[in-house]
Amino acid sequence: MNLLPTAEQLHIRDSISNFLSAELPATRLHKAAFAHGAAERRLWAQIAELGWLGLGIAEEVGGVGYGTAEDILLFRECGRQLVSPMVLAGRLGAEVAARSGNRDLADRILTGAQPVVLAHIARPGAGFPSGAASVQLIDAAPDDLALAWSPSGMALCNLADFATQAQAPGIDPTLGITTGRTERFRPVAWCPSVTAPLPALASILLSAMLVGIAEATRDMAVNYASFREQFGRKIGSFQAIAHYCANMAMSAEVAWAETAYAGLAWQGRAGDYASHVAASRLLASTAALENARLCIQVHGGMGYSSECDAHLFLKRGHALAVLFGPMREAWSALLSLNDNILNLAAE
Amino acid sequence: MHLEFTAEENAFRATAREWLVANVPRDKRPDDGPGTREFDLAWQRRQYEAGWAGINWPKAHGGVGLPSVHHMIWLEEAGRAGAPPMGTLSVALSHAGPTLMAFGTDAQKAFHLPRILQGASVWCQGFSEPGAGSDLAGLKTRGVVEDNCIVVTGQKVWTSHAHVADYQELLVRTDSSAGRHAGITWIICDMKAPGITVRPIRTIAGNHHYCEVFYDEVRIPIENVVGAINDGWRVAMSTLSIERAGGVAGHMALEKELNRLIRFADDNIDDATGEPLLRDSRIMSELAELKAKFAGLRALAYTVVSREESGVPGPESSLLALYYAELLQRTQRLSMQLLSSDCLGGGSAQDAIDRYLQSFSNTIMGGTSEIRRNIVAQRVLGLPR
Repeated sequence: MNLLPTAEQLHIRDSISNFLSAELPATRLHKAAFAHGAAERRLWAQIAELGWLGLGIAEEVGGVGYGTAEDILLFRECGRQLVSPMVLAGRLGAEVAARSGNRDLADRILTGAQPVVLAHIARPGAGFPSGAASVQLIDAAPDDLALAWSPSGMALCNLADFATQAQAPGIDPTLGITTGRTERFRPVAWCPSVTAPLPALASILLSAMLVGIAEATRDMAVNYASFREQFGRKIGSFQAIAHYCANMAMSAEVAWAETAYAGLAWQGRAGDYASHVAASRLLASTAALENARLCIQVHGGMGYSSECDAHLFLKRGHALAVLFGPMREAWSALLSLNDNILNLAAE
Repeated sequence: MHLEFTAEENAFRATAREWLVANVPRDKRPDDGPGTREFDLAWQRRQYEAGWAGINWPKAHGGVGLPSVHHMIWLEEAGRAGAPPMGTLSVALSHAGPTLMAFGTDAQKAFHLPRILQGASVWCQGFSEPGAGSDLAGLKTRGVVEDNCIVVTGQKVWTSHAHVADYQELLVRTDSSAGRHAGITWIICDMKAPGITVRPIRTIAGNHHYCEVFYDEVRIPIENVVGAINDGWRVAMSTLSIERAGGVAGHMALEKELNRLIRFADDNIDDATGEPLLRDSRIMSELAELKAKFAGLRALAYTVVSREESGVPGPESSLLALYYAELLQRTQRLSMQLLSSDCLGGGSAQDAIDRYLQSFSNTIMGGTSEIRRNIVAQRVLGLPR
């Protein structure tokens, strides 16, 4: 048992982090031209070339052959720089294609030839992926594939299957939202959860992105509190501010530790991984939203300004927190009363 | 990053579990009085005789000499088996022992460490004073070097288990002309020495957990100084600042209690709605959030142990005790909410009420949550003082 990244994993994280701070810094989103996944699309071939979309996918099916640990390190960095959920959709979409036996499609996704976007379904029907559904597509362009989610599995569909309509921005205007409706899904690839529990993986990777938001906002607040002066003192020396920052550190550390635990439990298919996935979801969502809120508060008047990055993180946090199933599902998974978390250590 | 334990660690766990199931005392630990001491010492002796005492203590100091992972596994199994807490021995095992190992003389180590492990001595911690609580460096209890003794006069307060302790980690001011931190000395005080008066204080939970201790020219041999004279602040801080995963057994015990609350909420009907309490979405969300936080607590403890194995303490260790203390209080508050009018009396709620009231101490003793947050802000995040 060791929850710390190895030297090799730290190296992978650093190279991801260096690339993102140079090419896709969160501040880009102050300019509309870089929003809605535009900046990511321009770099898509390079992102594919770096192997991000297949990082945790087995080599036999065209992936890089690392594991969930490397995946969560990647998506935490993506969260820190507010990278479009396209990368998440690409990673999951490649695995859906590979697991459903469509190697050619998997290759096209992994090489960047076929971009994938998320299709959020608020209430997936019991018959998914065969029934009708309304979706909210995130950062979609016409020739993309859409990755649709339900607890029973994940499906890749053609955008042409949906009657789509661009929407006015919601909580996060840096995401491009299109609504769509289909009377009957015709997935080009389908991976039921019984084949591979990819919806749980999706939730873990989303948690990693939310942890990235929690960490980035913690760092912003600590940095600002370390140089901003009032009453002749650095504001970080006031307990009111220092304790906000300590709370932010606590939420972020716990959410990361549990996301790592959940990722590793999922990879090993430990008997209780579902409750850990739910726990990491709950902790990471709470940490992202609470830290983003406190980050705005610590920045004072500056924090309420659209020029400050703080609001970008708050808004993205809200948008990510609603994906892949309502929080009530996480509550149920956590309250299954089977003492799973206690029993894990036995095996 | 990996979750799997080695085959050897799993085998250790199996052996530990088997022994604990057969040996954990069946009688309830007394809540108060000299009985607590006898109970805790007997349990420690039993562990010692079977070779389980000091799992992570070096062999040179009489321990088993195993890595932190084994210690954590032991604590998990102890928690699972419902083993008693360290109780009156927690200062001896978690603090005095490690401090003596790091700073004690050979004679001090040879005398005290075996007694601590064998369950032959109880220690208390004479740090806080009426005028020096969170501001520990403001302590005024005087120590005057005279012949081969330090003569101590003054008062300590909130000293847990002083009324049943054999020895005390005592901080005294030996040089009042030096800076606040510079003139302090750490000495081993024999609690039976003439001139010591101990007055137990009744807590809000009704027991006598802690005491006032008065010193009237108490003569303590100079060889009881740990570290050097006037170097006690460094000795105290270097062992206080390292909070290891020693609380893991407590985490397990509390999670069991949370699981009982979940079952209670599932089995009991809300009078107002006729539905199980668990269907009330406020209760459901609170229970689910607590359950998630327990998962997070364990993952954080695993991270602390991983970090300890790597030899470089990280930010997680300062956060662990703080997170646990607040989680414990929140769990106990929910327990009272679920008890509803049973808390008035006449039912079987007394244990839950006691635990609720005792939980108020967790965010105060050993450093208030406010002081702990200051430490996180300054030492982990590097915020200005």
